Amino acid sequence: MEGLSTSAGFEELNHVADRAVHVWAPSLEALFEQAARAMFSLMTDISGIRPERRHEITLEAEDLEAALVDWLNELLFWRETQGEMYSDFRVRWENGLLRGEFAGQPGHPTFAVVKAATFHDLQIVQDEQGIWHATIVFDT
Amino acid sequence: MVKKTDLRKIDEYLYEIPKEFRHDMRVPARLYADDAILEDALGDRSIEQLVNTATLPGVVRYTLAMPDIHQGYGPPIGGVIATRHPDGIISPGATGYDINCGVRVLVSKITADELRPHLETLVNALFQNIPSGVGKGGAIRLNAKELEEVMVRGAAFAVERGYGSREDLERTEERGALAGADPAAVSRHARERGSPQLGTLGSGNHFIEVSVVEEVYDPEVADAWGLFPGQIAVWVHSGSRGLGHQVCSDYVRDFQKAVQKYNISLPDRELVCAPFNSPEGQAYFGAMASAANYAWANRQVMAELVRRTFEQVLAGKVSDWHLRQIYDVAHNIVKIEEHDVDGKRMKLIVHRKGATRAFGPGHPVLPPAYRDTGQPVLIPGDMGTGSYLLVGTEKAMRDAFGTTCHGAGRVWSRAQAKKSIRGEELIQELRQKGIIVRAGSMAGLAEEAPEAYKDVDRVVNVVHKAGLARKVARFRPLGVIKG
Repeated sequence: MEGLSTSAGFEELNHVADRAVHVWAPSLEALFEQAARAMFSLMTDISGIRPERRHEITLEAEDLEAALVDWLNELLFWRETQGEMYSDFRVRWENGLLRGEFAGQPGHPTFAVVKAATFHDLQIVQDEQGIWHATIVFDT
Repeated sequence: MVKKTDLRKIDEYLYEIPKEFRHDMRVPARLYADDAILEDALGDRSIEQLVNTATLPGVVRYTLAMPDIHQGYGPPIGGVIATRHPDGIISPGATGYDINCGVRVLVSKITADELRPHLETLVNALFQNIPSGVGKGGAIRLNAKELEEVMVRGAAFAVERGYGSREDLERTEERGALAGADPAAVSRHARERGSPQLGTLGSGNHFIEVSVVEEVYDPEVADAWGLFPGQIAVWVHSGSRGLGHQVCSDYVRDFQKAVQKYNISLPDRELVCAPFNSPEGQAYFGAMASAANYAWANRQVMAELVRRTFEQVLAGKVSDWHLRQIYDVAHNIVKIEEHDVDGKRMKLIVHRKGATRAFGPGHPVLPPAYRDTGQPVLIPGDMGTGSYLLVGTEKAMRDAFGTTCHGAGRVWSRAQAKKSIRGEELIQELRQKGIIVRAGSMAGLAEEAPEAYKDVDRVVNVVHKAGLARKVARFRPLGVIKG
């Protein structure tokens, strides 16, 4: 489990074929950032990644789940084509568009690869305390 | 959760969940299993996922799961979904992210005794010469035009550039190129990922293995295929790399809209699909075939790198180091095939997700070398146990859309394997069993430990006894390269 408080964090769940994480955060933006952190933690120790290179992307999606899958898969695309690993994420919504910033470094040691974030069982929900939750299954 | 009492036993190794089990099922769902495998499958959501596949529009006869069934995302892994051509659905999620993940087997004339003094050098050289692991580029960097050619012509592209021979194509499913590829349907993202990766193994469950024929079960077929006990073979397990992953991600995403457009209701969003003959369905088929062809070119290049490594290490030291291809099969793919359905010949859209084509004797698409016997079926096990070569059967044609299992199937989650096993200890353990392992990442290796998989002997016995393929030979690993 990770995160400074219990209001934001992630934990890995048992899933036979692939990997799954439960992510939670006090806002949707923070939920998306936690999800990215969780995904990169499945591939490497993210605490050692230096935010040397920064990128920004804009995404449009028809619902929250599709936006989350897009965001994560876009990060995987950048990881593979740039040969970089990322640890620092910032997400904001502007006029219905998702603007995501992320930073990391090339050549960081990696022990596994996530192929894709899937829609399997994916639901973004808010609990009674106002905390946002998502469970994401990855193909690895 | 599906309970044991919901299943009807049809045969010693065959169970059926009748159509009446759930209101949205269009056909029954079947599972090939023995008691232990059935108990395992009932313990997670894999049978529920199998039931979900039986709800897809246009599905015919029944959906199927093989004894290597395990829980996936969308469909279970180890399954077959056949839909009516041309208006039945095609589904990217039901094909999987690693499009045409598959296996190729090459055999030598060298015996294990002859190889033994050179084994360690050979395994090290293979690890050096074949790019594996995260973020490794290939020997060939493709320009835009070459990449298009790879997507259309598959393994033949590699052969023409000196990677292997025409004979290899004869001995590859679809001759290494699926018809209907449409590179225009492949996104820029996918191309960008594909251009530097041809001829790379990747990570995860992919491997190259040097193994020995340990046991021959069917001497007649083994003889016809040139196999003998003690013979050295090489198994190459890899797929379409980043290009295939991106094609699947792109279309799972795009099809979220298609589902609404065609008014398809689904039990799981990952099962998104569109009618095969819709513009969306055609685009996905063209992109999927492009990725499948990339995978065949990828294994073709790696097989040649393996041959060159054999020459480099063994020329002058053993009598004959040459490697001859037995076959190459796809595990994750969609095919247009003809099968008998209720006594009628039908054109079908066959999704195999973690399943192997197992065409029987006399099938017209098989090359002359295999027309009398049926096709070779290649079933890799885990790295500590062994792998099987089987032969396709009439019964697979009749009962299972010409399909059998694809591997052992996982029983442990990756998280559990990583917690329980240390890569360094695993390497020592395997060395004591006479298996040399070279891996890019110790943590990645731990996830692939033998304990994480079902007993491959058990899985293969079920398909053998159920008649979905017949055992020809068993291989024992001697050296393993992991990404």
